[in-house]
Amino acid sequence: MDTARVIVAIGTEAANAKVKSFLAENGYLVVDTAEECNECLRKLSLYRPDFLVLDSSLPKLGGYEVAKVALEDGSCDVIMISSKAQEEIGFEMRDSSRFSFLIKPINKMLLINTLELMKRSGKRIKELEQEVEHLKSAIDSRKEVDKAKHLLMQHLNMGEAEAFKRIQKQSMDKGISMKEIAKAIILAYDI
Amino acid sequence: MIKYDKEDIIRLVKEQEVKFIRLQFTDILGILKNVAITSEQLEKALDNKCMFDGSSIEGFVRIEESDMYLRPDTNSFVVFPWRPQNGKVARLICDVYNPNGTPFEGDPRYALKRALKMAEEMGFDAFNVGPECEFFLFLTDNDGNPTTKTHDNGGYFDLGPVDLGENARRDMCLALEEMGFEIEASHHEVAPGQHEIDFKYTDALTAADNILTFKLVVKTIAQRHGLHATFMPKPIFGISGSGMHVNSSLTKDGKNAFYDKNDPLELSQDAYYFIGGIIKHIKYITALTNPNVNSYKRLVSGYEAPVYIAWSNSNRSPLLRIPATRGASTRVEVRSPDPSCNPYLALAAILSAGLDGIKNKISPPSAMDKNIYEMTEEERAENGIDSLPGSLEEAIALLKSSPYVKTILGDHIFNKYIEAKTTEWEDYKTKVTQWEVDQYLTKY
Repeated sequence: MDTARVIVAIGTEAANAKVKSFLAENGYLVVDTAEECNECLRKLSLYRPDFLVLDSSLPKLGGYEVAKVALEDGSCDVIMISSKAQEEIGFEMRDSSRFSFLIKPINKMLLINTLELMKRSGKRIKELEQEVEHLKSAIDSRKEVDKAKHLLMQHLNMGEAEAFKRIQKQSMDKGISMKEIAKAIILAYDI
Repeated sequence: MIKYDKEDIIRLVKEQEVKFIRLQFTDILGILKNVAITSEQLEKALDNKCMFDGSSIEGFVRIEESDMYLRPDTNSFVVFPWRPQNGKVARLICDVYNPNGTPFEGDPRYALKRALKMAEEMGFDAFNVGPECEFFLFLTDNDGNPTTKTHDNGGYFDLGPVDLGENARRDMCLALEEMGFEIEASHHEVAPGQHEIDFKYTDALTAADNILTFKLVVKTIAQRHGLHATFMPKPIFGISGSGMHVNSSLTKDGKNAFYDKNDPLELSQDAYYFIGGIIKHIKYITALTNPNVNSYKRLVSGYEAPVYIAWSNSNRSPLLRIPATRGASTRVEVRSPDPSCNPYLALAAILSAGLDGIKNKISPPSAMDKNIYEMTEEERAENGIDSLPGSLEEAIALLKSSPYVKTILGDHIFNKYIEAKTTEWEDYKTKVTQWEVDQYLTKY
């Protein structure tokens, strides 16, 4: 798998440096660090990392404001580090597969395992999303072709197989998808 | 422009799962105000029953007259594209009404509507405006407060291949387009950290509504990128300031009333009179188009901002410029306004000045294609070239002296505006500036 790019914004330069070196040892590329919310937002926009490791009490707006923007605008996953076990996490974050929560002090192995898990599940979700898109498109296409087929059968007195072959041939001859041919047929008969 | 009625709004709110609606209006200084309601209160709002306390709004009323009603303009319904998970937020621009059902004379939107009515009575079916707004994107410091440092110099170039400001501006354009705005162009401007977004022209009322929302969207999205957006006219000495050029035209019988193919410049008589009207009134309305102390720091020579009152077909930076396109896009570009103005008052003033020119057949002086900045004071006087006011104080005095502007704004806004601006000037006048400290502290 490609190296995941991370931005670390735990708070102080020292804390960031510690996490940065630990992540680097484990094969993650820490592209930058931040010590304050606006700085973090700027760097998110510039680097578009895969992950953001964030402290919930990051000055000045607090980690949750940054997390909201990261989850809504960016394509990065967020790991929130907090000192409070029970914290007010908005429902939109609790339900998101792109958000995780760890308590301080940071357990190094737990952090790595969380990152790994999010990386794997993120990849799987992306694959599934693409498959769904592909299937949706195929179903749409089939619906259109079916409709067009029935129109041809009705108006040109053809059998089902013949109608299908006609659409297929047009598609091959013109170099346009069968879906487009079907749409054109439907439109033509609409007039 | 899309036309919605009450039923459309109720349906759209349900379909798009809008949770909050911001009822928006402005005070006389053009600051956006809002009353947020939940979707449950929507019907009440659409029945014009939402009330607010007018005494807390700048320039509105004193305490004893305070109840004011908001009447949403259903055509202004727009859903903001951010925060989709918390519950979507939509906006409705409102007109302000008195409890007795009459429009409130202090509502700037009403001032623009009155000017538009005048145009209609003169036979024009629309006043079209295409604004070009400039703004700066600045970095914030470690405490999250805005600075006047731009990221262009901030050393980010060595870290990333993409410009942070470009990212932010791209997201702004995407958000605006999602909200139904038509963006014509967007680009980085002359000064470091300065950007511009131009809108396709629309009728003036929509344009003014859009300018306000545009400023809100720009500021919000800048914040999401960790930047601070400002529409302050001249934040930094020595580099260009931010202006808001107003491309304007009138239509008659569905056609552009400024175009006449038989004229040597292909401009109609109405176009010339419009120019004449603006030339006549511009210095009296500058307090409206350039409303604060800092606005006048921008109106100086050397930075493409206009200083002298003239118009030209070919000059680079006159007050009034006629862009080369003709036909349906024939227009007059007024280049002095800056984006800190109240768009309703500024557009009402520009339109009324132009209409006065048409009504009274005011011929403009000849086009000034020479470089005015290189002329001496005598040469300018010989050519009848006047200048825009040099300070807010001058601008207020000119505004006060114009009975014509008083009729455009109505007594209420006229008096309240002068009062607010005079207070601002007096406050500035008495403050000791950094310049004075730098100049005099050691010398004396």
